[in-house]
Amino acid sequence: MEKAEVSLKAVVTGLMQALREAKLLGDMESARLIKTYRKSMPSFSVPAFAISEVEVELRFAVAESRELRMRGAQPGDIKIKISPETLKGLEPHQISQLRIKFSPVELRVFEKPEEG
Amino acid sequence: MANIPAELRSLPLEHIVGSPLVAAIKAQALAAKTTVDFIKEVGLKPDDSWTAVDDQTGYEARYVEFKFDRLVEERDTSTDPPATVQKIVPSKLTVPMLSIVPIPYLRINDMTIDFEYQIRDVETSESTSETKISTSAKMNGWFYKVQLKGSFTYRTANKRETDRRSTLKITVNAVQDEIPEGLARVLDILSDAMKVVPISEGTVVTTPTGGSGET
Repeated sequence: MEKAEVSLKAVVTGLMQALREAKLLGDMESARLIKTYRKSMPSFSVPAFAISEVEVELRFAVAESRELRMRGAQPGDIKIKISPETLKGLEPHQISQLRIKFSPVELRVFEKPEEG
Repeated sequence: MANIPAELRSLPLEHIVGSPLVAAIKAQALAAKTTVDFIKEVGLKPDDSWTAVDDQTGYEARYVEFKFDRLVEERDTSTDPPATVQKIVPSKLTVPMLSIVPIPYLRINDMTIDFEYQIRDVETSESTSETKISTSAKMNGWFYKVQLKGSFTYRTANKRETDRRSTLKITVNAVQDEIPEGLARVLDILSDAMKVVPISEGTVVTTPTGGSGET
């Protein structure tokens, strides 16, 4: 059963987690190939891919503020209606469009400055 | 929405993005194996006289030999003053096969996945963990797990015919990559083994020119 409205924060978080898990699937496949490469193709490097950029266009309708208060939404979060059936029945001006660009970054290593 | 096929009704987003990624890695591995097979079939031949490490078949480099006429300049010291003569010397060249044929080695440079996705369900679960860092400090972490389930967009042409073509579009750009360093060194060694061997004495094609030895 589809939920009538969902948290925008949950949707964006879900997208990021999906990307992370997609990358994990790729990394697991690379790890699985290491043994084969060591045995049969030692001079070749094991293939691995990075997700360099992901662009997402999200279409949704913001739920009413009265509903927001009633459902106890947290500050900074927006409840949205996202199901295709709901959006189909709305006027174009009632539909918001959000374009997000994800660019994964390498984890940084911070060094503690020397005291002196 | 009764017409949505069951297999597309609830498809986690990570699998839609991750599966082409896994496919690209598998394709890259397959391309590398094709390169190895090409080297074994075209550039090498099995040699039963020895066994390689791990009891694998030993191989011998495959050579190609061909004859050609080489123009050689020689200094004739039997005359006074010494003269330079040009001779055509029939020779043969022995070349390792691997050094004269391009070795196919394709690398997937980049891959673009375009698709339309309808979010049908958002599952949210929360969990709290507590980690002891030391006897005096504690770290409380709050984790938030969200899973998006949805389906590809599809179109229904009419009541009888359903168009199940998804809108997933994958663009793969593959390029001929530089060969691995180890293989490049092997080719250098094989190239050094190239040698020209004269087959006979040769025929003088110019009359001796005098004195200076210059032509």
